[in-house]
Amino acid sequence: MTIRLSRLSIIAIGLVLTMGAARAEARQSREEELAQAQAEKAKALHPYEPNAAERVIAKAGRALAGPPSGFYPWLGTVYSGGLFALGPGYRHPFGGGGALDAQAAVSLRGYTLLRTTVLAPPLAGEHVRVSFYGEVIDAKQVGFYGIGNETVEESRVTYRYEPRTAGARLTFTPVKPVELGAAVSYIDITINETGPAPNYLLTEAHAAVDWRDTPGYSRRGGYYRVDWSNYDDQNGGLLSYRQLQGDVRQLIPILRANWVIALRATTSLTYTSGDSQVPFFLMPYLGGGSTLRGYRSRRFRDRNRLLLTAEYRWTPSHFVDMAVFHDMGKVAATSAELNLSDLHHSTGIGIRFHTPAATFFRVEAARGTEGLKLIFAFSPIG
Amino acid sequence: MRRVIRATVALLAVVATLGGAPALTAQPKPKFFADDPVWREVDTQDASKVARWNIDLASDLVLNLFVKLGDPAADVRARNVNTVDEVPDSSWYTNRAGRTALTPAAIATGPDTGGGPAAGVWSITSAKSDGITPGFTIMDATGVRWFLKFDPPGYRGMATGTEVAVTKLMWALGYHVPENHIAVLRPEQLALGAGAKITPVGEPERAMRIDDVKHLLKRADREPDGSYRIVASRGLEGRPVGGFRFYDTRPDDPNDVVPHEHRRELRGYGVFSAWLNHVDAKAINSLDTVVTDNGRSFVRHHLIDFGSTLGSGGVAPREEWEGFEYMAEPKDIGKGIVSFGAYVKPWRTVEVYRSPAIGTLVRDNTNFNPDLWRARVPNQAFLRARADDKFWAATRLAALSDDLIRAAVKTGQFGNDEAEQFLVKALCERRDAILRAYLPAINPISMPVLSPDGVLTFANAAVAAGVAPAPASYHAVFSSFDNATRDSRRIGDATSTTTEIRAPAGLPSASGSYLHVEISATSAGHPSWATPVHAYFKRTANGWTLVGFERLQ
Repeated sequence: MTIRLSRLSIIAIGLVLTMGAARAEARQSREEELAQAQAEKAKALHPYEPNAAERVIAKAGRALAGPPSGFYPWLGTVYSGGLFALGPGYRHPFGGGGALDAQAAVSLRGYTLLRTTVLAPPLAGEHVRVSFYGEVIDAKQVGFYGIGNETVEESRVTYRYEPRTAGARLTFTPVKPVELGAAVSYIDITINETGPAPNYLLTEAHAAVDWRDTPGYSRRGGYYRVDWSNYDDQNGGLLSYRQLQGDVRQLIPILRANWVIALRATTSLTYTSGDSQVPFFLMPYLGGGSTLRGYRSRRFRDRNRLLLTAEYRWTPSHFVDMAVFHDMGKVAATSAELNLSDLHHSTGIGIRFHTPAATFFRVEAARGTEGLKLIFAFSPIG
Repeated sequence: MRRVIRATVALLAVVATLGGAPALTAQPKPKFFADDPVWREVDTQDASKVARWNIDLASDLVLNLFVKLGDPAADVRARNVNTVDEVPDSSWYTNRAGRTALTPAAIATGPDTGGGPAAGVWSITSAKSDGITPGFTIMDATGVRWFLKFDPPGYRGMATGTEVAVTKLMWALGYHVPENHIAVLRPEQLALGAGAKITPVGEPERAMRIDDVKHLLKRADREPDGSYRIVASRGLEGRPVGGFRFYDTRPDDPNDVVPHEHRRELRGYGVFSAWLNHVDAKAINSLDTVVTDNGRSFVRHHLIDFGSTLGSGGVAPREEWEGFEYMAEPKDIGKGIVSFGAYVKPWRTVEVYRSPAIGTLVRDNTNFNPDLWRARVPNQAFLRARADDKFWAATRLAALSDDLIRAAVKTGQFGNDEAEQFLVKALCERRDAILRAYLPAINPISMPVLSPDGVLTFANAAVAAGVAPAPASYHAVFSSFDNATRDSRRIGDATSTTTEIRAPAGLPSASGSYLHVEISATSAGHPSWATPVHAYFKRTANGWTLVGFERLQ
């Protein structure tokens, strides 16, 4: 039998022998083995492309790393009792520390918010900050239970509250942690469309000492603040009043903050002259996610208020804090009545999610005499 | 035509069977090549096209915290070791401690080629303004690029001194590190360079202003005379192309063929990080540069930024939890929540040494447990480290004597003798604890030598380091070894109470023949020493040469 070698056969044989020789040669040294692996990789080089998870995390990281620039999603509260609010925000930094920041939002209860703040670049070696702001709120169903410390839940009615505010604020930090501030605003308020419509020229001043790590989250330090406000009714003065508010917060870390005792005392006192009155919708109040947590928002209101809070916090993680708390407080017609009798109490437990500098979400359950209340908030309790 | 195809197929089968089969089928490659063991890995492919990438900090942190990245296989032997279980010199690593004789003077010099930025005007080209650590990039009067970093207010020496001292130690341990110098900055030296840029927090990049400089300097510790103590880090040679991750390979670097989690020097970096409390050993703190040498471009891999090591947290003293746990420990959260705070972690109660000059460090390090040490975020290479990787790292540490450590610490110029002495003591204690943990953990027999006349000598690294007593006896099994088939054939065995064993008669004598020796030890306190190490010798004209060594197969 004669085997005729076709052209195809010859090529195939050549290929087989060449491949064999090439492989055998590649295995003659370790250096060549490595070189071969590198040569193989060189055939399939490509630039790094982050995967979907990396892209999402990167975007979220940038959002949390600092104030945004350009459009961003805004999540927060329009007005207490309005539940979650969501909407677009836009921030435009300028001038080395200045920023224009605007938000528009709608809450789950249909409350709406339009807000613009212009923060001027720091002045006087960063000791002075000036900001200008404008805000329109439409809180459609604000609860009202009557005035006084003994109102009943069943008396609840609602009203529509629409303040429109424009103003300017100045803060002066002579030396850290001391801060002084003043603000002047014009407020145009509408209640229930046909109800009272006072216009205020509001002047405010405050002094504060804040030696917590950051206002947004801290496990140590203290915050002491006094605010004075003058609400000057521009429609005859019948609704003019003054308000003095004190806020003391102290954080006591124990065993490298394994436990933190957080104490807070807040009082608000209002003053009037002659026949003038404090309108019910601007009265100091108790009830809601940042005051008396076992009660509905603005459950108690009167001309004066006292709130005492104690929290036992523990820190299961660097990003999660737990707390059991007890709030107690009362409202009263006169400051003389702000004593420790007839206090309303609420007790609860909560979990807070935070970064080293900011609390971004907390969930709390609190019980008062009117049942269990759940709180979802995007701000620290203090 | 069909007949021709059939004939071709038949012919191919014959050729494949007779000649081509070894090439086409799975021919076992020899265990050792003529050039084994390789002590220098060469990057053969042109890497000039490697492009800059930016590793995103958030995704790097989150993914490393919650996902196992890289090769899912467990217990994988390091893939870049040579045949004698060592790490060759490469674009990643240069053998120093343990391979070359280091002196205090050499370690004090480390990677330095000069004395820091040249005097005169320093022209700022950009600023670091991430809101945490202030820093500038400048050109000195001679046109050399430097990165300047500062101490936080009230902590003179802490961040800058730590950065310099740890740089020297990491250099001694074999890594490519930048040249870092303690220097003095006088504000009047600074000038804004043309085109200097800054990206303030929450703002887009913009031209830098002199106010930005003042703002950044406010976050730095200032000397009584108005100057600033700085660490000046010389710009690395080559074109920066971003950091490297501790898993996978870089997709655009042709020479990067070993997954990073399987590189021994990166696994061993975990041991060194534990030693130095380098809690910030993450991808961002590395930098690749494309270097061209003799017309060949390759990527050199560097470790940078040691400001968060030892007692320094960079912008403040180290926080007490750092070094004890990851930033997020999901498994612990549930326990922490339900315990109402009764679950107290060890770091809450451990006594610490505090000094503005060096920061905060655990006071007593004699019982330091490197296996319990944690970086802020899991590092995939550290997680893959096996006992043999840790052993390798421990042998490197064993080569750093107290005097060498003292010399490195001195370069930090901490300005506080007591704190400096504490730092030296702490480092020596932590080194000794690591040696105690990792050298005796597996069979510590090393450096075997077989004389031409058949006397086997070796070292016991654990005994030599003084962290374990000598075993009762050593045992060696000698076998001839077929390098092509990898088969061993037993010749005989021998036992000795010393680290010298005479081989039995009958060792192969032909040049090119191989010998396989399994060496174990009998130690009541260390049963793991009974698992033999494997040494392979090749017969040459001059006697026996070690070509292979495996501690864990």
